[in-house]
Amino acid sequence: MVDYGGVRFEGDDGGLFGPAEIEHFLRTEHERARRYKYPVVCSVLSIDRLDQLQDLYGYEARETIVKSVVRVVRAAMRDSDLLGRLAGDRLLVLWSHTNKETGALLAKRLLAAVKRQSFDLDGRMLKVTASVGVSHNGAEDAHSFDTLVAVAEEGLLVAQKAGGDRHVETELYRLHESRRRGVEAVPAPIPAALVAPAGPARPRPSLSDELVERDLKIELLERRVAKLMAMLDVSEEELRRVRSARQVDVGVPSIYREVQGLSSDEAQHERKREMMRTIFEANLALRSKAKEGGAVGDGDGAGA
Amino acid sequence: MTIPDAKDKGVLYLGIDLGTSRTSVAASNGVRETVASYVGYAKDPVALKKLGKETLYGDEAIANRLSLKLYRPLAHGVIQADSDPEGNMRAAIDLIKEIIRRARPKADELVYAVIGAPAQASIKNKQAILDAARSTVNSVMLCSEPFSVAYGLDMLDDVLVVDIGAGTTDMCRMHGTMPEDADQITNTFAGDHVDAKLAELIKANCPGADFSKEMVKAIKEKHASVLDEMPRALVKLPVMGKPTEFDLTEQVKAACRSIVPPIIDGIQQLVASFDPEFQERLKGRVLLAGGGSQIKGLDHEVERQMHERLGSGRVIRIEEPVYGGANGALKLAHDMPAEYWEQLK
Repeated sequence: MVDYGGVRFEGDDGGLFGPAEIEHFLRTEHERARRYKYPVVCSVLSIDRLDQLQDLYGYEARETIVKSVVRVVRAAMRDSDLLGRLAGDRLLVLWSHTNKETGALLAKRLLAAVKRQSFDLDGRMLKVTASVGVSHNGAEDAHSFDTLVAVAEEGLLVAQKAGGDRHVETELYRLHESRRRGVEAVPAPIPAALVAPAGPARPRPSLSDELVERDLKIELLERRVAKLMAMLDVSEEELRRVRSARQVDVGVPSIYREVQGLSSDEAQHERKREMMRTIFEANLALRSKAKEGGAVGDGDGAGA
Repeated sequence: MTIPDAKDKGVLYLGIDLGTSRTSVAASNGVRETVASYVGYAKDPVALKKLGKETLYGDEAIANRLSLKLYRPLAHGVIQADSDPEGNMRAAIDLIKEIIRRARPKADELVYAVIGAPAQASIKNKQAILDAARSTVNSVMLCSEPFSVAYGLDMLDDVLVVDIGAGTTDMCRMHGTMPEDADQITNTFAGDHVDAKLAELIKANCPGADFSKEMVKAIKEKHASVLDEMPRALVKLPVMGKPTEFDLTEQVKAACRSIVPPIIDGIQQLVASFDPEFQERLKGRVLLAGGGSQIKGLDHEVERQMHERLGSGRVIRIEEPVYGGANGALKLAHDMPAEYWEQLK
């Protein structure tokens, strides 16, 4: 193990930083960018339908695909960029000195490069696609590293749910920043003098003291409610904006880029081929009958 | 539909199971969807304004049926031609288009679909189904529904598939080649028959109780069982507007059991006409599929009656009754050679 600036490189993850390591470097880089005012783009990448591919072709195939995609992503990076692996075989990339527009272009190139990969699995040629969520520190409310990552992860989720093979920047910086502040902003505690002051035991507070204490508590709660209401307004406004910008469903790409057919490795290959031929001929006959404009009889066997 | 000419744009395979009660699709983009086989059209402009759209499908159509002209276009496994044949045909076409749309095909991909049709659908019905699909996909084929179930499970030899749907129970024996007419039997003792029987028994045993067909179906789907020791089926039905509890355990059991003897008759017929050398093997590989296979204890009951009447039997229930047919059709689509798809474009 090597201790490098407080970060321990504990495992060989194909040469990638692990989640703890990448977080350390990202926070450092984000702070540096904030101090020296240069743009950075954060993106989270995931391979589409990876679990489904594993179900079909096994764990080894999954690892092959992930390693190949990592190679593709790494090849597209500069020395100053950071690449790390997150849970669930997701990749986190930080592009330094990169603005929003360039970040979008880089994301598109990554997606295209992933799509160009071919995998020979069980005699079938497969191609995969990926989804990318993107965020940048140039947005007005992108103050913190946590907000950047949250927006990028949210964009990834939206891209995946929309069918994959795309990059998305949700721009919900204000929402996440508000949430982050809402968690951090703990209401101020009740002044100690009103709770239990140190020193010898006081005589029981008078009724007016108790009323003042209760009023203070109420005031604190009211402030908390107002803060939560403000956060709710922000959330609703962002949701309205996202809904209005929602695009028409462009569909979900298939895992197959070519027509498959029976593999010659398939068990019972010849018998299945014969069955395919019978089904095809029955459908051909059905179409001929339709063109002729008549039905010769009912029932047509199991071919069709 | 515009056919993309670049091969590397992708190929989407669809396996579609057209059922009386449910229509399902399994696609090679990972999408799997199922919808109740109901289509409803807004009755009038008021309904259209209330619903916000002209056509509704599945559970949404059932929930809004009072505002709709509702069709169940695939009753008994074929497009209905009794009353309003044009309306049923239109509904069937719309249903097929809707289930393909729900598979979320990309505009720039080839779409090849295999549709599992009931074993004994007429040629006219098959052509109607193909015509409906052709407007939305590049190439489409039909195959027998019980055959697609067996193909999906790679069980091509000495297997007897019993596909219990809503409208029909299809039985098909597999013997290593494409099944022929003689290998298939269809009867109408299926889910709808259970509903009708249950409604009859409720009417006879629950005087004054009000209920609809949908309520009976819901009771069946919640409590369906043929087990001697089934959990009690306590159901509230309105009597003169007041919800009243009834114990329908025996009625549900009797209604579900009513489909077993015809199933055994069908199995017996298929076994008896099979090569005697392989009859024992066939009896030992009975596959229960379709929505009706979810009746609790049905597999054991069929097995028990097979032992009584045929001397032996082993019944296996498939794991995914809703998607079994669609999964098998998808596998068929995937295995079909490219040249066959091309010729049927």
